[in-house]
Amino acid sequence: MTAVPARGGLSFSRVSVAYDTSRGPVPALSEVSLTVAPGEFVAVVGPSGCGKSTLLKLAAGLLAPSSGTVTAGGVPVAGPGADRGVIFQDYAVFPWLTVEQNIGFGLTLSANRAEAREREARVAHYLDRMGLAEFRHALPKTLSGGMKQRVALARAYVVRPGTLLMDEPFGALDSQTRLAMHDLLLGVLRQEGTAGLLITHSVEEALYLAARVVVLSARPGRIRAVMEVPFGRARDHALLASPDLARLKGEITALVMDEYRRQTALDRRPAA
Amino acid sequence: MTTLAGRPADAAGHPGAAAGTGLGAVGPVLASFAGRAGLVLLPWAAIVGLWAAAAGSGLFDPVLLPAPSAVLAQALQQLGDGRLPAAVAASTGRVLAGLVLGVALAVPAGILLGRSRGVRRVAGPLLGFFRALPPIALIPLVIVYFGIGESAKVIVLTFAAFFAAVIVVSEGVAQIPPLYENAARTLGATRAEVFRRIVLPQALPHILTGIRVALGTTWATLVAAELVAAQVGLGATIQVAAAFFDLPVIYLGIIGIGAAALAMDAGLRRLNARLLSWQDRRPA
Repeated sequence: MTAVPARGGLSFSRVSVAYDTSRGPVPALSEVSLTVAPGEFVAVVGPSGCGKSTLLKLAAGLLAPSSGTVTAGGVPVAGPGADRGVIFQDYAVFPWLTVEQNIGFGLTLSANRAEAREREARVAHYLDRMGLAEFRHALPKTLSGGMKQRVALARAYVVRPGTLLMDEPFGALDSQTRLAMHDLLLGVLRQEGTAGLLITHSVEEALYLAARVVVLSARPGRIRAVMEVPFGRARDHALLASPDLARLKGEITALVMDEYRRQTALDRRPAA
Repeated sequence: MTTLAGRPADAAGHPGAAAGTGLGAVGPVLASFAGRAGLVLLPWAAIVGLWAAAAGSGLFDPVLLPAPSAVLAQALQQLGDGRLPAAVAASTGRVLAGLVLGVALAVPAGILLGRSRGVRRVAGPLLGFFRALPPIALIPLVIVYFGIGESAKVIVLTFAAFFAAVIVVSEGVAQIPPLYENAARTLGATRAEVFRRIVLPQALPHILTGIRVALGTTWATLVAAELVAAQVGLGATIQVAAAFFDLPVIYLGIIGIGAAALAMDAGLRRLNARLLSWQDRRPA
C-alpha cells in the first residue's frame, strides 16, 4: 500500500471542564494536556465517570472547556465541524432515513457542498466497503447493532474527516462483531491517513487499536499515565494472544483499577 | 446460497406437498381475517344487543329509551329527505375548518415551546390558563365579538383544537433527545439544516398525535359550537330534538358524531402508519 499523507490531529492544552449543577460547579476534567498527531490513533481508558466522554465532546465541539484550549488540525475548536467525525455510543443512525440516505447525509449539507458531486460514488464505495450494499434501501430498525455501527462509520467517513472521534463505539457489540469492526476501522483509518481518538472501557481494545493509550484518573479526570504501544502499525488477532499484550494489559488494568477504587471512594463520600 | 437454490428443486420434486401447503395456507388466512373482523364487530354487536334487550324488556318507558329500530327508522327517514347528510356535511366542514386552523397555529407554537426553555417559561403559564377554559364558557364572548355567523362556530372549534394539539406537540418536541441533532452537527449541519432535516422528522409523530387528540376534542366541542345559532349540523340536530324531547333523533345525532369522528380517526391512523413506517414500534 502506498503511504497516504497523515491528516487531522488534536491538541488539548491545559483543558479543564466543570459542569454546572444545582449544587454548584462539579469539576469533570482538570488541566488535561494531550496531543494526537496527524494520522495517529490514541485510546483513552479510565474508570467510568472520570471524564473520558467529556474529553471527546470537547474535541467534537459539542462542549466548550471552562479553561484551556482545544485545537483540531491546528485550528481552535469553536463548534462541531465536518473535519471531525464522531461515532456515538448508540450509533445515532437516523431512523427515518434508509442506510443509503444515512451514509450520504453529510454530503447533502451545505457545509460539504464542494464534494456533493461525488456523493453517489462515495456512498457506493462505503456501502461496498462496509458490506452494506444489499441493505442500501433498508431502514435502521431492521439492522443489527453491528450493521448500524457500520452505517455510522460510513456516514462519518463519507465527508472525509481528518480526525475520527469514537465514544465507546463497540461496547454493545458481540465479541466476534467487535473484532471484525476493529479490523475494518483500522483498515479505513490507514487507507485515508485519518487520526483517531477512541474512548473505551476495554484495555485490550485500546491496546489492539491505538499507538498510545492514555489512562485518565478518577474524577476530576487528569492524565495518570500515557503508554506507548510497541506493536507497530500492522495488527492482527494473533497479537491478542501475545505475552507483550498481556503484560501491558496487566499494567494498564492495575492503573485503571487503582483509579476505579479512588473513584468509588469519592462516590461514597457524602457531598459536603 | 446453496440452500436457497435447493428449495425450488425440492418443491418441484414434491408437487403434491407444495400444493398442499398452498391450499392449506389460504384457509387459515381467510379464517383469521374473518376472525379479526368478527372481533372488531363484537363489542358493537354487544352494545346494540344490550340496548335492544333493555328497550324490549318493557322495564323502561319507550319515550325515555327508544329501541335501536326506532333510531334506525329515524336515520333512514333523515337519509331519505337529505337532512342527515346535510347535518353531517355541515358539522364535518366546521370540524375540519377548526381542526386545520387550530393545528396550523399549534404546530409552530408547539415546536417553538418545545425547542425553547425560555419560551416555555414565559408562555407555559398562559397555556395552562387558557387550556382549562371550557369552550362552552367562551361562547357568550364569541357571540359578542364575532356574531352568530359561521366564523363564530369555527373560532370555538379552533380554540379547542389549538389547545389540545399545542400541548401534545410541545411536550413531544421537548422530549426529543439531542443525539441525532449532535450527530448531524458533527457532519457539518447548520442550524436551519438541523431544524429541517433532524427536528421536523422527529416532531412529525408528535404532530400527528396532536392532530388525532385535537380531532377528538374538536368533535367533542361541536355541540357547544353549534349552540351558536346553528340551523344545520349534528350538534344543532341534537339541540332541536332536545327542545322537542325527541330522543330517537338525539340518539341519531350522538351516533352520527361518534361515527364521523371514528371515520376521520381511521383516516389519520392510516396516514400515521404510512408516514411513520420508519418507527420501530410494536406491530399494531
